[in-house]
Amino acid sequence: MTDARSILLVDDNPSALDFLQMRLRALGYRVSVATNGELALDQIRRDRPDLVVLDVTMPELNGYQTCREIKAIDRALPVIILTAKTDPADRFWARQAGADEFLNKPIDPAVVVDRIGALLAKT
Amino acid sequence: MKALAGATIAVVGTLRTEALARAGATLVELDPEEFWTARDPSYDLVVLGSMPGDRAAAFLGELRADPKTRSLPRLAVVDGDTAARLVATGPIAIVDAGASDATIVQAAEEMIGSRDGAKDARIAALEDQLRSISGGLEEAVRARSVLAHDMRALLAIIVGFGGNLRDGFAGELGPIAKESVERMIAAANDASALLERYAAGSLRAADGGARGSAPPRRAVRRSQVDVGALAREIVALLADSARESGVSLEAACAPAVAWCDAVQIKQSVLNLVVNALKFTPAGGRVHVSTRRSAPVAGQGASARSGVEIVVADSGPGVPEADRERIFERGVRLERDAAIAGRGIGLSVVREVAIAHGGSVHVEPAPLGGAAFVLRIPSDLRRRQTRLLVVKDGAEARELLGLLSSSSPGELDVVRPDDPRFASAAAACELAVVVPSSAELDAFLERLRGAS
Repeated sequence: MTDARSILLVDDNPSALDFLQMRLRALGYRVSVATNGELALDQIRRDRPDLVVLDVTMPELNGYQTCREIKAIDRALPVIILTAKTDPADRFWARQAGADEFLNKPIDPAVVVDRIGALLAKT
Repeated sequence: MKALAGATIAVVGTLRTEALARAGATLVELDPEEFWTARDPSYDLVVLGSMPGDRAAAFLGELRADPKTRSLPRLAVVDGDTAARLVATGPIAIVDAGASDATIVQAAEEMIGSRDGAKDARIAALEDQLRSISGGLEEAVRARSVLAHDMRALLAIIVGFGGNLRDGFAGELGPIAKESVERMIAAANDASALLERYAAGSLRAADGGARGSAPPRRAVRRSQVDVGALAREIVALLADSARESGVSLEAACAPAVAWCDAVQIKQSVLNLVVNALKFTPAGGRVHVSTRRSAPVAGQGASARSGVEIVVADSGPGVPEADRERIFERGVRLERDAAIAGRGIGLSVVREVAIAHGGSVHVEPAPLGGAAFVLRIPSDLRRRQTRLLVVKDGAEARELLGLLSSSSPGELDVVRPDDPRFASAAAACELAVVVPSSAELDAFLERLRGAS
């Protein structure tokens, strides 16, 4: 199906997204991981992924700041914010930062993969 | 130092007062009896002049002992002998009776200033305390929010890997393993929902609150919930632990839809079943059932028809004298001292019942032990017929306006000539009807037809 598509997962606690990595790899996605915003931007500049899944709570460059930087590099690159922050304000900040999707943890991984598929289908 | 202008000074005893008056103070000259009759704490200063014998010391002693006057600043303008006796009467400025007017005025100003200074210091200390309390509260809220966030992130890992297991990403699972994983995911999602409320401050932690403290207010988020299915889910969840305890856990839960908070009711049923399992010895039975309940006359909110969840067991039962108090927070029966618990579970059930306008009680069970009956009223939006007839007029219309604004969405105002009247009258517990005199007979006719 989507064997050529690549996903970048960004979380300062990489094990937090291991379950997603496991599922995406099994579905044939290429998956890479960055443990902070700066590293994510480096990777994106070097090897543009097809989609980015971003945590919010990260030291230095948080998820929203990283998202803004990503959109400055490539406005069309889909970004999903996946966070345990549930305040309605966070949804607002995610939209302000240009995120394409805002999802709350915990979430069924099948739903995340569905959203990834839907966003990739648009690109 | 503060100027005397505007100050009100009580003058007790014989004293040269001209200098104080010239400095702008208002002087109220009193003998001791008059002073004690008024016991007025609003003076800026009490100035004591010469008095016969030991009366000055006695007066100041009383002044110090009286809670209304003890904080009044005082100045004594007395001779040397009297001064020696006044030293032991507490904080006081003493000026020799022969001192100059300027000295007396200066001493008065200093004493008034010292009171203001003390007041300012007290206010500053209170402000510090407030800042400290407020900072502590903010810190507690922040800590609670961070904890909830971090817990949700961890629960996300359980839900994430659980979903992968369920969907066969770690190999195919048998039906029992798959069902077990689904239950784990559901429990993690429930925990996350509870955390969210906890962080929002709408639900106190389940173990919070001391014995006998006021029950926490619970915000109820209602939806249509099949309480029967929910009870079956709890029974399935606890099946293994019942088996391990050698207790037969059975369910006979007919579908019973209630307008309630699914998370809170689930927590309550869980508490009741866990409680029953805990007190039922091996070889015993716990039976969970749900049923629709008929309205009970004269019982206020619980008079509505509703749903009952009954958790019955073959355990030791609850003595009649303890059937009320076991729902109090922190209360445990002495005979149960050997069984683990903190007396929280049943109090949570009662709080949830009250928050829903329902009730919970315990009665003897046919199985021989206790039967806990949790009753939740049916959908409050479709109430039993009860009609209040209000005569037409400005007051009635004002009342309707008040009712409509205080219970938006729960009150339908339907006049008798409205085509919806018959069905509204049949479906509502409270219908407020405003007939004009001419309409009254027709309205009663229609009402009889509707019921």
